Amino acid sequence: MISIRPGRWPGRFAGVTSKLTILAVALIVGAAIGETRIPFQTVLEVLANKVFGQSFPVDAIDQGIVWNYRLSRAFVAASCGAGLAVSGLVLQTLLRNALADPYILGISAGASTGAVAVTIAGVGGGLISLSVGAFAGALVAFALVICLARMAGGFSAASTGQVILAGVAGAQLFSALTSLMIARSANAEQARGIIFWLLGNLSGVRWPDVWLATPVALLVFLVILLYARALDAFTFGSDAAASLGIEVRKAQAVLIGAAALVTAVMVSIVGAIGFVGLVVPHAARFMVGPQHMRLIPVTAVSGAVFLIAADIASRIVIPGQVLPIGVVTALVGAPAFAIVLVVKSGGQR
Amino acid sequence: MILCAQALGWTTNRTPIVSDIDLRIETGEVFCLVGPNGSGKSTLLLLLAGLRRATSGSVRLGDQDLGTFTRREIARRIAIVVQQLETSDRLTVRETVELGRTPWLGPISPFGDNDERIVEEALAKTDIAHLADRRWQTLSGGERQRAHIARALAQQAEILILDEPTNHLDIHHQLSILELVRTLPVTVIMALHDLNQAMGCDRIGVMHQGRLEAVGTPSEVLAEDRIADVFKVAVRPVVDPSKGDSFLRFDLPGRSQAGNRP
Ligand SMILES: Nc1ncnc2c1ncn2[C@@H]1O[C@H](COP(=O)(O)OP(=O)(O)OP(=O)(O)O)[C@@H](O)[C@H]1O
Ligand SMILES: [Mg+2]
Repeated sequence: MISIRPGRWPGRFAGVTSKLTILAVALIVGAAIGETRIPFQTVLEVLANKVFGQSFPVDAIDQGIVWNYRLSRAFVAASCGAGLAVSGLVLQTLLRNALADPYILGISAGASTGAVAVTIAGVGGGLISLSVGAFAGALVAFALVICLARMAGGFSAASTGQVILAGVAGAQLFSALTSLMIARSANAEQARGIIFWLLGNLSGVRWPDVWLATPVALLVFLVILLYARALDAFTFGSDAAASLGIEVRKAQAVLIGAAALVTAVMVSIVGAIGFVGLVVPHAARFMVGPQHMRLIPVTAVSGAVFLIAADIASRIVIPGQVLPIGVVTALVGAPAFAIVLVVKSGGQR
Repeated sequence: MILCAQALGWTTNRTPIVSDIDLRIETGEVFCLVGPNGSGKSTLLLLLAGLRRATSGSVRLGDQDLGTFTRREIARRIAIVVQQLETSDRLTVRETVELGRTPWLGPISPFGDNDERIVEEALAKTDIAHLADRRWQTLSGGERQRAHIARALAQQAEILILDEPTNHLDIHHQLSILELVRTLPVTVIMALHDLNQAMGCDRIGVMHQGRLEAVGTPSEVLAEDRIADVFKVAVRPVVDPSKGDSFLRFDLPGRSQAGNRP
């Protein structure tokens, strides 16, 4: 008897195929829907023309909209959603805290500050140097939050509430620093606006952004997937993980580094989008349970689909106007945060 | 595999918690640590499992220092169940026990038939097979304890370290877990509070204020004056008329004639 169980090869193959299909459909839908609706067939024809060198007769304006604006935007949204969701999952598992997420812990805010500092200092000027600045900011913010939480929790491991409170404090501090730097910077055009860095925004995204966002998201996804068993082993804490053969320090460094990297890169491209990392892993856990080998891919795909959907919503909710995507994710995410808070503390009582 | 402590000590915040431990645990032995609360039993077990790094002296596994092994190599040889391990994740009992296979699996190698067989065996031996698909949060304290022991069994290590394995267990399951670990073909090192249960082990170490006060067979070690001194209780051996062996009865000091009470 061949049992097709996730984790076995036949099951894995089926799982990978179905997830890639979902992802492809989401990308195409993302490219089709917008202010001007473009038929799916046209989207597919544009893809065939551009990717496979076909020559379907497509309206040049439609082709431009689909290829230059919407597809690149959908790809960045997908990479960003997947990256942030997986980061949130990793942080939740390592900190053993259901409310952990790069935005709530102030990592996104730190990345914004780092990116803005690089912009204003005018070093390099490219997307890469922006990302490097954001990465440094993200790591500083995370270190600060953990130190603060440790101090607040005595010398024991940081407890649930303390980490979140420290994160809120850190996020406020870094947001204030970002606003201050933008307000003070002589050249206002250097900065793409306070709203952009604090709430996130996908307008203005083009293919060069895809070439940074997508490979980084894929790389981080693969690294984290290799640590799926290690993440499972953290279920009962870091001592238990060590007793199961995990090099705890190394695993923490790699995983936190990966989460900070993907957060930083996404922030430097689209600003700080909140709540994706909080909401999506909980939804994924609800769907497939707590084992990371299944949870990580489902979280990544759900995050990608969630952010593509949020992007579509941000373009069509108010006709003729585009909302910053962070507004949409916050509208969904803040109530979800409240639900998690209530359910989790209710479960402990 | 022989596990050995040499002049082992652990100090935190300038307070020595465990000091001057010299101990050699033979292959296949069932060794038990007893001692009052806070005497350092759990700390010593963590040191022996390599989960605390010795601040003085060393732990040797076979003929090598424990520090020279990778975590994975240690985890394949030593399994440990510590006190009070909790989680808020909603994993099932089977998923918990499956964690025990971690040191034997690569990052992407799937869970095989052999792993599944080992997990089923561990569930059966600890009498929780009927709970396999229950979520962790729905388990009683004793059921959680047995799930942790099953997880350690699934690790298939040569040395099993258990910190108060009978904690939370009803009397039937206390006896069956002790019987199980005695019959397993592995070395067992455990902390126990029940001195009568400790008497069933091959050797006993008595911990007192961070030091090993005595090590030896139960009859050598559990002398009445030593128990009185270490545990601050009065003790009387009582002969079981049906079996002819003796067990210990305890009273608070100064209340030695508790038998007078109705
Ligand atoms: N990380 C730590 N920091 C400070 N003190 C510690 C630490 N770990 C243990 N101790 C102290 O060391 C002493 C020994 O603790 P340990 O847990 O080893 O005792 P035990 O013999 O297992 O006790 P019990 O029977 O209650 O389980 C206790 O007084 C405890 O408070
Ligand atoms: Mg203890």
